[in-house]
Amino acid sequence: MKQVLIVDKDHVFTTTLSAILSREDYKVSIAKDGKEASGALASTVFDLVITDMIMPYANGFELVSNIRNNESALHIPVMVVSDVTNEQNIAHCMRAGADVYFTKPVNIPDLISGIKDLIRNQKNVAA
Amino acid sequence: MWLHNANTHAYLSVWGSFPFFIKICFAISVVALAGILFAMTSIIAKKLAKKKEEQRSGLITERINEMLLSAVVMQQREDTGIITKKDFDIRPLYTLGLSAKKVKKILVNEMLNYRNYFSGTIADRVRRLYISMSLHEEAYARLYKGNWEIKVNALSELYKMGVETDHAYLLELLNNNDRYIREFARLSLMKFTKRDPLQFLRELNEPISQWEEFEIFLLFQQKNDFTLGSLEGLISLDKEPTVVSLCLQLAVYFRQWESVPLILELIQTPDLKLRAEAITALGKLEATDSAKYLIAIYPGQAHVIQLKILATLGMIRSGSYLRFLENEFISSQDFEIKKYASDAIIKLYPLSKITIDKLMGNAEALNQKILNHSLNPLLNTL
Amino acid sequence: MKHFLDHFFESYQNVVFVYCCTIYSIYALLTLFSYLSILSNIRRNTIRENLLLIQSPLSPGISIITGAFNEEMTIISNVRSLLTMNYPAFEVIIVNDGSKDKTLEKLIEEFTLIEVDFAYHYFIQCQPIQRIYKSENSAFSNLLVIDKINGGSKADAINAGINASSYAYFLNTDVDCILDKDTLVQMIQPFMDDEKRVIATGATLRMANSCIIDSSVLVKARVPRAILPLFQEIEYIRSFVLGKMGWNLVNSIPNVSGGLGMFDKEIVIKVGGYDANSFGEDMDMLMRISKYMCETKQEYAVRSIPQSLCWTEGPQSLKVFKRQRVRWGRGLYQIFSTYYKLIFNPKYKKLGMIVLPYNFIFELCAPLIEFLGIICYIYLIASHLINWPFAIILLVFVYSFSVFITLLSIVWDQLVIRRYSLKEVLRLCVFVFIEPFIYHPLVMVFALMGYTNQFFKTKSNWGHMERRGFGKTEKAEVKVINATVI
Repeated sequence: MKQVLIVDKDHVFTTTLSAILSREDYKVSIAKDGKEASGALASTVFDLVITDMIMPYANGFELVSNIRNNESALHIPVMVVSDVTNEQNIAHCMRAGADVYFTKPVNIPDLISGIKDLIRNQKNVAA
Repeated sequence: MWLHNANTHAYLSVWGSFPFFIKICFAISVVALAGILFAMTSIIAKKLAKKKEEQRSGLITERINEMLLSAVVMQQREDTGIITKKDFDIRPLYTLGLSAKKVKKILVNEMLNYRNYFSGTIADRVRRLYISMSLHEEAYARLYKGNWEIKVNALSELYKMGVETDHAYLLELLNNNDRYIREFARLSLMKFTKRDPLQFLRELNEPISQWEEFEIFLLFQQKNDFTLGSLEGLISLDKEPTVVSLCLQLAVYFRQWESVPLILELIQTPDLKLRAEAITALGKLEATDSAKYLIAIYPGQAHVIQLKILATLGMIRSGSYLRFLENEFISSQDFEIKKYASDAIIKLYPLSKITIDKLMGNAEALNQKILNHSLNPLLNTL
Repeated sequence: MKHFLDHFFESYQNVVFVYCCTIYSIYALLTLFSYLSILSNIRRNTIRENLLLIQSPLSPGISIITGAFNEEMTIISNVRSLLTMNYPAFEVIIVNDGSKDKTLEKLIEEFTLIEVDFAYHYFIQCQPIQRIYKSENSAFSNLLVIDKINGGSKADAINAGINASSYAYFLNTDVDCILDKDTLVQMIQPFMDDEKRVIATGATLRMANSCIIDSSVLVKARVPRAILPLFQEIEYIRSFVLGKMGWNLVNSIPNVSGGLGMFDKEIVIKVGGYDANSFGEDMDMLMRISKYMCETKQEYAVRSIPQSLCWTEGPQSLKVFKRQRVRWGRGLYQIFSTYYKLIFNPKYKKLGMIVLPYNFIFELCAPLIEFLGIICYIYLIASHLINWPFAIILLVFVYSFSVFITLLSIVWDQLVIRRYSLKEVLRLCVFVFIEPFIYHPLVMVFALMGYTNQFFKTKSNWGHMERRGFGKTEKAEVKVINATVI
């Protein structure tokens, strides 16, 4: 079972998304900000991180760049799901090392196929 | 009894001897003291009531979200799942201490939240649930009867839920006295019109706020059942500048190169802000052909406009105007002109490689510093 | 002589009475105005959702500018907190104002800063810039750190930041202020939604003294436990909720606090930035930009929103408090010695006809008239000229009315703020009853000391040289010049 970490300050969004992903046979953990996410990342090996951009304590940019600068987490694919549609913001995020960017409102089938692609590609890289 | 009477008498006569202003002060003090009492009780009562209500609405929100999750999100049926009132019974929630009206309000709020999170099937199911629970009819009722605040809220609820409203009534609301009502009527009309939604902007002859500009832009960004159509008559000198400004943004977003001639014409506007926006739009559309014209008008323009022209030349990515940029960079005494020219030159890389090398080779200290600034990737991230 | 004094003081009583009645009528009116203004804000907030600003790619960028002087203890968490604001397009500019401690070193280490060759241009005057830093880590690419020679004032630091900022709006705040995450979305709203051109917006400030704060994020808001900050909180509520929100209705706000204010950068640059020699640079800025708008015949608005978005550390010791208020007094005096020509000048519209006259008569002169009133009172008692029943009725009148007005401001405040528990609010209310006896006289005396200092220009640079040289609590000083409005 693949392990997914969802990071978003919005409680309703995270529980809903986590229910959807659990149904798709993912094991889901939730963090409500960048600081919590770093804690979770330190203790568990995830196959994918789904994160928002705007969060207290440490925002998405920092989280993404922490993952990319961390030897053991370096290869984890990162998907951003955010309200922000500002182009500079998206570019900035991709520069920091995110793999794919979705804007809310997000279409679930697209999101799930995005997740599958990321995890599959990740396996190829590892192999 | 007798004693009491005498006292009253004595007091009254003292009172009578007071000058008028003292009497007024006395009266005001009494009012103020009563006010103090009232303020204190109202603080306590309201705070307690609010606390209770918050607890209750917290609980109800939680329940509603559980219900929405199972009814809307986890719905396994392959059919597009028509959820009926029976499947989604909120009546048990009425016993949790809040009025039915408030429970419904929470429900609608949560539904709108879902539509902010998810598009596609989920958003559509939420919308159909909203309709099958007849919540749209309640919104209609408020729309026709309520005061302006209730009207605006009903309008915006229907708008965000994606439920159409009586077209004729919306047209009528376009002439309402309240600007928020007019705004949401416009937005709704544009949202539900497939053929030429821009007609409502064409007919508009009042300025729109920047906020409304954002709303309309987002609407078109998310709307997928229409074609934008020509912006002729919208990007024009005799339209409201705020409306024109919105249309410039739309032209850029939808890559409408056919509006370039309209934009070029707009540059004649005396409104500096609008002129600047028009020039920027040319840059974002990478309208190569307009560069010559921009350079031709450059000398007579105001400082801000000159800066915009320089920036636009950088965005247009045609190497033919490098000489001009280089010349401005070297000969101008103005810091900002130099900075913008330098940014534009750097943006034209690799076309400008030779120019950059040349300039770096023999530039004076300030020019060198400006070029270095433009070249530094750390400083050009915003 | 005795006869003259008797006569003078007896007629002075009447002056005080008329003055007092006028000011109370204005307060009553302001109370009504602020209620209307808060209601319309609440209504607008149900229609205008912050989410739109987050979603829209058109939302204007905002530069958060703040000066830092010897802040090594808190600088990292403060900057981190600023970097996580709820807004899609902003930059954070920290101006290290020649700190003598490790403020800069800490920043460099934490955010992996490196010096960049920045083409810095002095659009407005400030002390020379030494170095400019950016982060190598792309996660912090919206952070800019400016290291400059100490200019002795906050104004100078903010000017330095404005010169390097890239966006059209800037938020001026203090680095030790605790900001709500929604500060930017809330404060940019009036700029985007008003029919007039908005040139500045302010919001409510509160005391951070007893709040529970984790890494510069407000976890739980609490009313100050110490008595002096508690009185200041009451004063702030009255000043922001009644004063600013009331004046907001008629577009006559006299000041946007230096602790938290958002400005249209174009106008601020046009007027030459902040005045580094002013003791009340925030009110001075508002006067400057309003004056400029009148002189160039442009319509404008200054707005205030009732939401509490900024928590600041209020002075806790009497000594520090005194220094703060004396400086505010000087600042106010300075404002009027600079702008007195605008008073009752119709060319300056509301600024000349309402804002300045009101603040001159009821703000600048109030401590003077009050002080003289007390002397008069004492004289009348001493010479047995006093009519005790009348005096007591008048005293009750003054006291009950001012307590009533203050309590109403707390009621209005409760319409917007949800963070306080009932216990906290009651704590505030209780001290409202004591405030007129203890706190108010202090404020009055310190203001008068400020006036005399400024009048005789004693130690004219004293406030500037030392105002940032003390302990942590002192930083709050620069924040709300003139919170005494109303």
